[in-house]
Formats: sequence, C-alpha cells, structure tokens
Amino acid sequence: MHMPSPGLPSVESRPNAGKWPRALQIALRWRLPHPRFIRLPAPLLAPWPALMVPALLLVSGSAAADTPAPFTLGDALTRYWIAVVGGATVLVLLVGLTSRTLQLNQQLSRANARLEQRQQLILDSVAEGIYGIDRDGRTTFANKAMERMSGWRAAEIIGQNSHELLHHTRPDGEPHPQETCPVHATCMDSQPRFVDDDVFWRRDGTSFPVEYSVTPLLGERGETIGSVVVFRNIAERRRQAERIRQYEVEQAHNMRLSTLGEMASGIAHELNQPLTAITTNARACIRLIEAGRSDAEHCIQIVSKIAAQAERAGEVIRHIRSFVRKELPEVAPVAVAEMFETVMVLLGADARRASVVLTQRISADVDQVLAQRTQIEQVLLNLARNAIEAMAEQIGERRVLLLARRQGSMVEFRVVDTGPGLGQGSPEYLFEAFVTTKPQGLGVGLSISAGIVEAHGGRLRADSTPGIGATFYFSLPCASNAGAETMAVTTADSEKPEKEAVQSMAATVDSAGDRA
Amino acid sequence: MNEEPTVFIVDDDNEVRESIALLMDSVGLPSASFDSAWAYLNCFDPMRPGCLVLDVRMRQMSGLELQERLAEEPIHPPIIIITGHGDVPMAVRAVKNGAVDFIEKPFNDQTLLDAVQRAIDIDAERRGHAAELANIQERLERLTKREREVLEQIIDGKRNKVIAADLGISQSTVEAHRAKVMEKLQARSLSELMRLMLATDTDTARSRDSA
Ligand SMILES: Nc1ncnc2c1ncn2[C@@H]1O[C@H](COP(=O)(O)OP(=O)(O)O)[C@@H](O)[C@H]1O
Ligand SMILES: [Mg+2]
Repeated sequence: MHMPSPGLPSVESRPNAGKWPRALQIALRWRLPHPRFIRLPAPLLAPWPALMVPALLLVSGSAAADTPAPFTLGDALTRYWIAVVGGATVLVLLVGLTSRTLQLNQQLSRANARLEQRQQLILDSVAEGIYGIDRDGRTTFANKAMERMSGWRAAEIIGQNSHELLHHTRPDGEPHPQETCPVHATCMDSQPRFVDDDVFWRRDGTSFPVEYSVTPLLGERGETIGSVVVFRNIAERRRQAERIRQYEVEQAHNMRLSTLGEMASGIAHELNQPLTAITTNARACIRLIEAGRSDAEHCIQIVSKIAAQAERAGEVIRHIRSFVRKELPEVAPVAVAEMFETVMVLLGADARRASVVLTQRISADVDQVLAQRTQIEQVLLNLARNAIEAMAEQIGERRVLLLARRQGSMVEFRVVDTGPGLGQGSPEYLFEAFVTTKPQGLGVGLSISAGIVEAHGGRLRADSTPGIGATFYFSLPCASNAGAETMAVTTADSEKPEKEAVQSMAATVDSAGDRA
Repeated sequence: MNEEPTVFIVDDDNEVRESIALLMDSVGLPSASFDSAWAYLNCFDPMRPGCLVLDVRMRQMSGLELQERLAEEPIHPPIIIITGHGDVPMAVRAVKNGAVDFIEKPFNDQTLLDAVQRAIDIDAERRGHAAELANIQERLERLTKREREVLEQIIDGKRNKVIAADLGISQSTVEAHRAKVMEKLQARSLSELMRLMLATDTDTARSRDSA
C-alpha cells in the first residue's frame, strides 16, 4: 500500500545522543511509525459483490419466468417483498459504510500529511544537515539545512546514491569507495557511528569539513533498512581553532623573544668571546707574516683556530635562531642534548657573570624525547635562570646542574641548584602567575613553565631543602618507545614520596659536587 | 731589575687568552698566561716587571677582586682591564681602583698593543722610580741626626747664617755639615739636592693617597 515507515531507535539509546541539540532529538522522536490507513475488515467488504449478484438475478429472473403463468412484478413484490426490502436496506447500509470509510481514510491521510509536514518542519528547523538513506545507499529524505549546505535540492537527490553525490572523495583528494564509508557501514552492521573529521562535497564541486553521526534506521521487525546521517559544517569552528592556535604560537614566540631580550647582554658576551679570539688571532697572524717570523704550518694552525672560533660563534647564532623561530605547536622527537646545549649557550655568560658553575649531565640511556623543542627550552631556561638568580646574594658554592635521566619510558628533567631553597609553604604557590620575591621580577616564569609542561601532559614539580638548594623537575616521554607503559610509569612516579625526592635531589647535588 | 718585562694574561676563556698571547708574541713581547685569578696569584712575583691584561668577568674570582688583592702588595704590574659587553660600570670601578686602562671586547689589536706598551712604560717608570727612591733612602740613612737637621733647614731654603743661629752652632760647623750632606747624598749642586728630596716627597704623598 505504501512505504514501510521508518522506525528509529529511541533517541536515548543512541550513544551520540548527547552530541545533538534538543530540537533534533525531538525531531527524531517525532518520526514515529506513520499512522496507517485503516483497512476495512475483509468480511465487511466481501459481501458487497456477493449480495449484488442475487439482486441482479432477481431482476433478470423475473423477466425469464413469464411463459407458464404471468408472474408480474407485483406478484414478485408481494411474494419477495421481505427480500427486496432487506436487500435494499443492506445496499443503503453498505453505501453509507463505504462513504464513511472513505471519509475516515481521507481524514487520516490529511492527519498523516500534517504530521509529515510537521516532521519536515522540525527537521527543517534544525541547523544540522539531516538525510536518510536506504540499504542501497539511495537518499530517502533530506532537510533544508542539508539542501543549504550541499547545494542540492532534496528533490534532486532523493532516490540518488548519496555517497556518490556527497562523499565521493576523501579530504586528501583520494577517491572514497562506498565500501569504506562509515554511513554505508552503519547500514550493514547497525552500529551507530560518529566521525569528526571528514569532508562532504557540494553540488558545485567544492567541499566543506564536516563532523557527522550515522544512526541505523530500523524497520518494523527491527531489521536495519537504512541509516540517518546528521552532519555539521565545522569550517567556522576549524577557523576559530586555527586562530586560537595561531595566537598561541604568537604568544609563545613573544615570550621567547622577551626571554632572549632579558638575556641579550649575556648572549652578546657569548658572541664577543669568539669574535675577540678571531680578530686577535687574525691580526697576530698578519703581524707574524709581515715580520717574516711565521711559517706555513704555524699559519695553518692559527687560521684553523680562527675557523673553529667562527664556528663557535655560528653555533651561538644557530641556537638563538632556533629558539626564536616560530614553531608550530607540535611535538616531535628532540635530542635532550640539543636542548641542554641551547640553555648552556644562551645562559653561559649570565652564569659566569653571577659566578655560577652551570653544568649538564645526561644519562647514557637518554636520547630523544617527544616535545615541542623551543617550549621545553623555554622551561629549562626559566628554571635555570631562576636558579642562577636565587644564588645572587649567596656566599659559598654556586652551582646549577641540568640533569636528564631515564625512568622507564620517560625522561626526567631536573634543574638542581645549591641556592637557598624555596622557603616556607607550598611550592605550588610559586607556580601561580605574578608571584615573585624579586624587586624586578615579573613572577611569570614558573607559571608559564608549568603551563608548558602541562601542555606536554606532564607536571612541573619542585622540591627544596632550606640552605641546600632547590630542584624543579618534570618528565617527558621518550621519543623511541613511547607506549602504553608510559602512563603506568608516570603515575607510579608521581606517587613518589616527597622525602625520597628530596633525598635524591640532595644526592644529585652531592654527586655533582663530587664530579667537579 | 734588568729583567725583560712580561705581559701577564689572565682570562678564563682559553681561546681569547691564547689569541692575546699570540698577539704579544707577534710583536716580540714575552707573555705568561693564567686561566684564573688564583693561578696568577699563586705565581705572583712582585719583582717581575711587565703589565697585567685582566679579564674582568671570570668564574671564581673576578678581575676586580684580583685587583683588590694586588693593591695590598707593595708593587704590582699595572693593570689593563678587558671588558665584555655591558661591563663598562665594572671597568670604571677598576680604573678608579687604579687600573691604567680598559679595553672593550672585541678590541683592535693596535689598541691593545698601545695600552700594553703604555702600561709597561708606566711599570718601568714606577720600578725605576722605586729603585731611585730606595737609593736615595739608603743615602739618607747614612746621615747623622745633626746632618738631617741641617738638610731639612737647607730644603726649607734657609741661609747658613740662619741655620747656625737656629741650631745654636757656628756658621762654619753648618758649612761642614752641609758639605757632608752633599757628599753623602751624592748631590753635586743645591738644585740636584732639591730634586732628590722632592722625589722622596712626592712619593710619600702618593703612598699616602693610595692608602
Ligand atoms: N631555584 C629557586 N630557588 C629559590 N627560589 C626560587 C627558585 N625558582 C623560583 N623561585 C621563587 O619563585 C618565584 C617565582 O619565580 P618566577 O615565576 O620565575 O618569577 P620571577 O623569576 O620573575 O620572580 C621567584 O621570585 C623566587 O622567589
Ligand atoms: Mg623567573
């Protein structure tokens, strides 16, 4: 009689229900089974032709029977009047019933049309694009938002294969076969799906980024007869996210520029040393040659030194450049030694000026970590500068040690100093922005550092023993075998008692002292 | 005293230190290098003439601290301070404390060599002066008490007659003392005697200032 009505599973049972707006949930609820045309019971319809036959026979029979004795209509009426009256009554009743049935049917279909219209209105009022497909992938319905976003009119695509119209090509431009299409897969296995990164294609051949959910459409007997796709254009959200990301890149970059600015004089000194050696060697070499007091071998020796010093200066420049480079916020394998080197180069002169011995130690089993290089360099610089600054007033040993050691699949970084320690109270307090004890301090170094470490999935921690020193530490995953065990190690490590940490710090300070 | 002047180089940057030593060698100046203030102090010999090229910014003991320690010695080589970027205030302090020069890194070779030459001259002068002073002092020691009294009167510009009256002795005795003083101080004329005495005077004045 008509299409089997789609029976959607109840909204609450859908795993992705929460992702969609209320209006849509209502819309889906409204798509209850279509009310049916009422079928008249067979026995009521059946007698209708059956009764007509005797009635006609009755009429023709009266004509055929007048040969033996005239049997008039009057006779017939007198003899069969009961039957005639009965027949007529039945006839009238039947006519009445039939017209009533037709009328009811008409009312129902009007109600049905109203309902469908209402469903359509609700579907159309939803901002998400919604369309249904049958098991063969043919579009069964589409809402206004879908029309608007795809550029197709519903009438044009109903009955057409939706995958071929909307979903034919992947974001990377590769063809997208229907067999691997999640929408299609849901038709097959009745599993709802959610895809947050895909593209749909418009009528004009352009594409737009979408996220969508696919829900199986169940038939009367619970069998899957298709699926419903609800999708959103996420281009604007993407742009927003991109803008935020861009902003964060800018912020981080500006931070590094300002850090570098604060260290400019130290860095200039770091460049001055090789430059001084270069010019002095070169001039001396010229004088020796002019005085005829130099042979080729000696000259080569001097010029080699000059070259080595030029390379030393170049190295400083390289570290500066990589540190101020704008970096996409993406983690990549980075050599720990490289990052420590940057800190040593950029901070070496400042340490010297403050009479601080800055050293580094990397365990043999430590190589690369997964990190945003400049960000972690920023953290190490912040921590090492704090350590140097903390010892400014101090009489006695002034040491800062950069440590990296393996802990399972993680590498633990430590910045250890022999300063006065962190004073009373929770070190976490120092991680808040604008907390400083320095007259010229901004109090942002630690809060920025803690933020960066957090963005790397770790936590910046601090320990200190008054009069002995402070240690700041955090962990990053190894680049080589960052795996499932990573998590286990981090949590185990994070439960390491404070006391033990202090002891190990004291031990590192001691051993650092022993070494020098 | 007749030892050749040496350029003492104290800088904890190996490359810079070696390059300065090479520069000195290129003009035929002997040099001695030290990688820390301590190393220099350990080998310090006040009798060796020369000058000190000193990096102001070093680990452990800074150039300024070394300068302070040397100031306690009776004589030390004149100091040329080498400064890096942004160390000018330190250099100014060093000069106030008696450094003869300061030079900013990276420097022109001639600038450094000129400074070194000046410093060596100053050292020689100081040492020569010191030697002369010691010499005069030694001669002064030989004077008797009375001869000293007469000498002081002579320096004050008094005539023999006045001196005789002041000291209550005869004019001829004054004459005799005067001749003895001239002889013992090896002064041939009054003006020479005056110059000798002036030298000792300015020296006492100078040592009073620096104390
Ligand atoms: N290694 C350290 N030793 C002692 N105190 C420290 C150390 N590192 C940080 N602090 C304390 O934490 C405060 C906040 O540091 P930070 O956020 O870097 O800001 P700022 O360095 O501008 O003061 C510092 O003022 C100092 O009191
Ligand atoms: Mg700080």
